[in-house]
Amino acid sequence: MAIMGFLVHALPDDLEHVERVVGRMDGMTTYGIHNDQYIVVVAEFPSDKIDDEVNKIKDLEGVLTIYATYMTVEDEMDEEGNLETNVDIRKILGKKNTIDFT
Amino acid sequence: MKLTRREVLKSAAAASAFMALNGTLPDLAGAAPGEPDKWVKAVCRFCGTGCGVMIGVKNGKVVTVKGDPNNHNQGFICLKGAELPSIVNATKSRVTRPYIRKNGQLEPASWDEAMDLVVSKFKAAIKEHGPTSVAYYGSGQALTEESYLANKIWKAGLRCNNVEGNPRLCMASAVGGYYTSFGKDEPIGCYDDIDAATCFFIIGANMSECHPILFKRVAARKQADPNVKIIVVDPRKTNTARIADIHVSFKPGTDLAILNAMAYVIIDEELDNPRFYNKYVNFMTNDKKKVDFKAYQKFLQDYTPEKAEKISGVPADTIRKIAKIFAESSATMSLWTMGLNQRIRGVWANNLTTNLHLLTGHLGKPGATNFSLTGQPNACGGVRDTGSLCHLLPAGRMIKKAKDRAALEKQWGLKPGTIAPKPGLHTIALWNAFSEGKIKAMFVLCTNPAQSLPNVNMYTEGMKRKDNFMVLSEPFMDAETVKYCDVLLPAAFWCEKRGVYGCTERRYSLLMQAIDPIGECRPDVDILLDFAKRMGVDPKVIPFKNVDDIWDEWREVSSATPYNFKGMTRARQEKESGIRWPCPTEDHPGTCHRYVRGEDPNIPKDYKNKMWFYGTKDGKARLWMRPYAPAAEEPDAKYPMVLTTGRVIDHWHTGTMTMKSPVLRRSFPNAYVEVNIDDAKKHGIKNGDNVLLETRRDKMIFQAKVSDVCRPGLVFVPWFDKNLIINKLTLNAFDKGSKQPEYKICAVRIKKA
Repeated sequence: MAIMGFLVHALPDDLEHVERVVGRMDGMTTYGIHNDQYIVVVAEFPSDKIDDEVNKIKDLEGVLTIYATYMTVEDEMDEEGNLETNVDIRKILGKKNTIDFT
Repeated sequence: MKLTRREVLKSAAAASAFMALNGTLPDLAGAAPGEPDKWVKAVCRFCGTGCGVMIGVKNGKVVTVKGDPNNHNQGFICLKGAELPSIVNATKSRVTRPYIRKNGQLEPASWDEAMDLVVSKFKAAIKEHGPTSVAYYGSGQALTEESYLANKIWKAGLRCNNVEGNPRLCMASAVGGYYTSFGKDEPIGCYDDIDAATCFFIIGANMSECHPILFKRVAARKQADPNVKIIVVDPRKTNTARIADIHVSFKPGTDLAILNAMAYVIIDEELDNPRFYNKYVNFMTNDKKKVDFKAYQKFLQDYTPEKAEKISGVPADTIRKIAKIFAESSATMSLWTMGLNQRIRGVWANNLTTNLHLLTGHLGKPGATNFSLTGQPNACGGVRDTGSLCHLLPAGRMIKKAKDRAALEKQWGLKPGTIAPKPGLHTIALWNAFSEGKIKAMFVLCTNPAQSLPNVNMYTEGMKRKDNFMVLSEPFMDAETVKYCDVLLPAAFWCEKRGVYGCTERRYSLLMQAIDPIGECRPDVDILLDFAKRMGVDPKVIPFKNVDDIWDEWREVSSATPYNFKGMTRARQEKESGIRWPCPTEDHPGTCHRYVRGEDPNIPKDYKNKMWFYGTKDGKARLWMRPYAPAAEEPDAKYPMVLTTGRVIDHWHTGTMTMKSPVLRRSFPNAYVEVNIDDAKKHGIKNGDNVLLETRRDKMIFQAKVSDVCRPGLVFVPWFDKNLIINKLTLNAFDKGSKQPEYKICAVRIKKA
């Protein structure tokens, strides 16, 4: 699981509504409204899923943008330190470990 | 209560957000951060904002990134920055050893084999065709030391001024603008001005997507004081425009007329500041003649708001309104980027924006400044400041000026006359020459020209020639240019090396090495030093043992110029999170505002005036009379619409890095075309339909996003997608002064595919 800390920046009139909606989303924990414009949120999802959830927030009415402050993928690394989501170079290079000239 | 590892990490994530908000840790259970093995200080790899980051390393791998609370971004990073661990760990897509192209295919080679081949090609070209037959094409993403070193190898070692880089494609017009208006490049003000401005004039910039952390700071300023006004001038209704008090949409390319009309209104309404401009400003005609204020007034008669309305489509009343807000504010800050720069009149557009500041005196006080935003993390510090372009020398010196060449030759310990007096070829001329086989050997470092050059088909065709040679130093195997290079060198990536990035506000920050380079990768400094040695460059010219030696020489070189940052020692850089130049001594705090007595160390404390524009001969800034002129390729009956290109929030440049992150890739998997609702109806296009875009260069199919973001007659395509390279359609016409191409405007026709 990846863990991300971030702030949701919303228009003042929509802040409370946005906080309620985000707080009800699975995998999201909210930490209140701050400075009359930000909601502190922590998300926990597999790194290849977190975008769907974050985009749901970005699409809410009144949300201007999201500012991240922290991201860790510590839990998702295999023994070699690779992420499961790595692009496999063999798919790019082909079996011969060469590149076609196009 | 004992917390699980997951709970600790979660608390650390929340704590980081609170730290960014208030600078204090909240009372969270387990808020003490889940510490990795070590934290390493660096700067984000992406845009020119230059956000400080802390890289968390565990078992030799990058596992965490968080904002540096001590840098200007105060702990914030954007989503792209947060995804850096995924990108760093995309090791399976990395170039991990050298390759040589044989029979059309890249085949593994040793470092010696690869470098021997590179050097033999460069030596042969120089022997047969002279030093102007080779070139270096660098990057605003290379470290400062890398650009400084390459510049010195070529200009002093090989006596070749064909040193260019991708900042020519994004920042050259801003350089030209600052240089022509003030006699020196780089912004006067800094990010602190955002916190003091009472009016933001954002023109040709989509800060919410391209500079999100600065957009946050602008939005926070508005939130803190609702009387603060935001004006956004952009043909697209972007997210940036959503927080604006006034969004001014206009016919693309006509902003020159709008800016002149604003000046007309400011004078007509007596909102100008004669005390400022009589003391500090010269009025200049387009052909460089000094004239008086009356001549300027006469020039502006062609730009009454009514006349500008006919050109731009912006109602005259709106022009009057924004001109008044700009002038009547107690401190106006202009912010712009590619919308002004990537134009054949980019320098003029920069000048006309600066004119408004010179006319109103909105300069040199907190919040009042003309501030060009940059697109790459080290375009300013790395390429502009080190003079790694074909017409420049380090620290604002010019190749064509004998005095500048002589001064640098003395500092570098060269024989007089070593530096060739003729500027080299600018980017478009260079790639034209390469495509024609006139440039025989090209060293490309940390950039992806096969995707980023305009009208790129003609250049990729040139890259296929058998009688020229291109060596590419690149971290990622799937970068488009890899398809065309003759030798591929495995470059160490971002946190695998050490060096400086210099961001938009003249802030130089040290990136410390966090992890070892993978495979056989080497830092570009090591590759360039190896190249110089094998080329036989005099070791007295290139005496460096490591990256810190290069920094120390560069500091010394700067000390004889107004850039002076001799006080930024490595020890100090390791301790602090970025310092703004000028910074002449180790106890100097760095400079917020240039040209201001009491702030800029280049100005004596007892200087008679508050400001001194010491870049010009008489110490005065220049207000230029730049007329409106159309784009290079205006829409016509055959191609009736305008195509513009740009970034989206979740991708950066050619996508070689951001497409490695599953989060970012899924957010924007492909490029698309943004079409206005009215245009979509006219062409029978619905959201998600395939649309054929055709320009005079090429045609391509994109999926439609129908919205009111683009004004009618305009379509937008992002340029990150290597499978849909929009630069096959763009235009390579360029600004005569800055040589920057006009990516932002070309004629196009569309139809449902």
